[in-house]
Amino acid sequence: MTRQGPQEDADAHPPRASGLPSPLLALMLVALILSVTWALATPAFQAPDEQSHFAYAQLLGERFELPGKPNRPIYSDEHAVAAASVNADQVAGQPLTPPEWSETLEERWRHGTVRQAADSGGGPHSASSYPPLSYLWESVGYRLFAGGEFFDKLFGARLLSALWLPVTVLATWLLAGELFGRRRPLQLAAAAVPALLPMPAFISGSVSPDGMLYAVWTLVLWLGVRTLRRGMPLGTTAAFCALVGIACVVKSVSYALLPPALLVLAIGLWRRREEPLPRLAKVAAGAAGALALTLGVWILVARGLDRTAAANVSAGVGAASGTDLRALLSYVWQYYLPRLPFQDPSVAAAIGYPAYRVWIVLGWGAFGWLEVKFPELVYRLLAFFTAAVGIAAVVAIWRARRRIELAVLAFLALTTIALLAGLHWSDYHVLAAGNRFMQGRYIFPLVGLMGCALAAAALLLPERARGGAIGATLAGLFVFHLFSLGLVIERFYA
Amino acid sequence: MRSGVVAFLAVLALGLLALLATGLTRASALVYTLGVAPQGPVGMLEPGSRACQGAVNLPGDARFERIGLYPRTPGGPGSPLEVSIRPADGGAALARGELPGGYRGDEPPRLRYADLGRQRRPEPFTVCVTNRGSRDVELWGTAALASPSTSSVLDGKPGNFDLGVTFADREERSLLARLPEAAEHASVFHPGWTSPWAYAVLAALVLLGGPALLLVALRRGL
Repeated sequence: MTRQGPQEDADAHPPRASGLPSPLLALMLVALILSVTWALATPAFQAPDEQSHFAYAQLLGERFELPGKPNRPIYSDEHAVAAASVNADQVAGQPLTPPEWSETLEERWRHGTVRQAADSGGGPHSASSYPPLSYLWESVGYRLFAGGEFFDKLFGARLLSALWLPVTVLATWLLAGELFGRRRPLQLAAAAVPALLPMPAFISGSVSPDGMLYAVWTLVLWLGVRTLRRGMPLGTTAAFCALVGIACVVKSVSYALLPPALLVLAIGLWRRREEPLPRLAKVAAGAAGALALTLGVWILVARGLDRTAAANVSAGVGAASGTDLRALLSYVWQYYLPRLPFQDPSVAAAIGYPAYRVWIVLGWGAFGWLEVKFPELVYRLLAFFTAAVGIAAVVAIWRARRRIELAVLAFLALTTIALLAGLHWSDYHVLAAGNRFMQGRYIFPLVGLMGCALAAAALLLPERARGGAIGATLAGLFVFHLFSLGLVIERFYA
Repeated sequence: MRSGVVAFLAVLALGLLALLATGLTRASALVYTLGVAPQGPVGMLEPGSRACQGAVNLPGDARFERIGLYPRTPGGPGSPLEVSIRPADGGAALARGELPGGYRGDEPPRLRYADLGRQRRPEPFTVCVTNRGSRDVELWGTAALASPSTSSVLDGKPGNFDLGVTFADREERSLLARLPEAAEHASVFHPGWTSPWAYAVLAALVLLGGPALLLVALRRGL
């Protein structure tokens, strides 16, 4: 974030032959090991909405079609029988109910499974209106394991999702490099956050669009900062816009990236306003072309298939006319701050203190269908740690305010605000309709920024204490990850 | 760099000790469960009535000593229950146990056990519960389909519910001691190539490879 040169505190250790610095490579490997471990440790369909996500990937893998046809069953016969055999619906959200683990029943399922169609799904479900890109990627894993049994194919789809976690780690490293200069300790601290936090690994190790979403958002953050800091070069700008478009084809929440992307383009063009018009037009065309080739293509395909390109966004915009703005603002206030005397209880009042319940409890560790949790004391300690890091990061930014590039700060702030605004808009309307929406994992598109917040917090420490603090934090996060895996093993298998 | 590595090793060592202590102190006696949660009273047993749930297929080498149920006698102390296991295709009881009366009427009821002695039953069997008291007993479970591999019968007639039935050892064992079984359980309904050994390799990769790689990251990154 500061204006120091990118080569400041340059590497004492040269890059490896792979082109990646060895600390980064080590972190990416740890992330891969952990996400694959989650892919193998989580019972079938015991991650949020995994049945719907898998049904989507399976349909693409089997018929290369998109789901949502009202006259078709939700799941394929093969999927429905496998889910029933492992007792997936009864296990979901029920802490007392482990999945089926009788080999006799597994054997019976195996002998009965040969006649079941894998391509008979395609009906509407909770994910059927989502854009297809992450499912298309996961269907590659599904196809790679197509010669195996149902649970091999499920693992194949999970494995392809798990591969995104190291990409998130890489992107966080690069983002920290842009913000702090190539200062290895700070890059290491930042990239350790997505590598070692258990929830991103758990979600990335399941069939879900979110693993890819975290990676693409983090790449967008990196390239957005790079575009601003490097004077909007054509290649970087086009790559930035392409990734924004790709993010929108991964999950509709990514439309929140459009305002910050426009901000980056506007600032970049303004800064180059003295240059000849054809040169500026070339950059603008590169940006527009990249968006057109990604998001534009999806919008055309969706229109051709008579689908809504961004169903969730359309529903959100449609809800605007009936929104009680005062109640919405009151809800947002009470989400984070104590209720004022003149305020009625918000629609989120039943959750308790929502910011704690959602961002801390569900963000730090709630596995399975969110029912697998630590004792309350653990979350309280984590809340203190989170608050301490957050406050320290703000202090670090304040101290460095004269050296901070305001455009970069504005881009990162707008991205955060846009994501939170979209989430709270949806949450408010879903809560008002009597249902629950918000989950801690929805904040992880910003996991790269969280890592950079930890690195910024480390900047407050004297240099001689910084290494120790980073070492202790890495160990603490890793041990917490082990406890999380232990919690899940106990819940489902012991 | 050195302080970072030292701090990492110190916190890691403390954390692993805490993990070990947790693994040794958290314990369970669970052998197998039909996966039916006590969501409500589904079977009402009048004095002398019998409800059965089967056919149960235990994992290969599973042994159990107790069968757990969720009984409740409304408005008074619990009635005694006889719990038996019978061949799935009918016949005399293979083993019997008693769930003594006098238990509290918590709502939802707690899991309460009848001791049948050490059992190893590789063949399918049915669990039957008979009310041996003078007051009605509610058996808790859920609607049918909760346990797709079994079904219920109440006084000889098919029931539209599944009873919460759990098989357990007499003594609890620590989570650490149960890890080999947990690896076996995790190998079922998972990719065909998974096995307890595959999970052991994965555990070694996480427990040894993870810290080793983080040490490399710290030594080269600080």
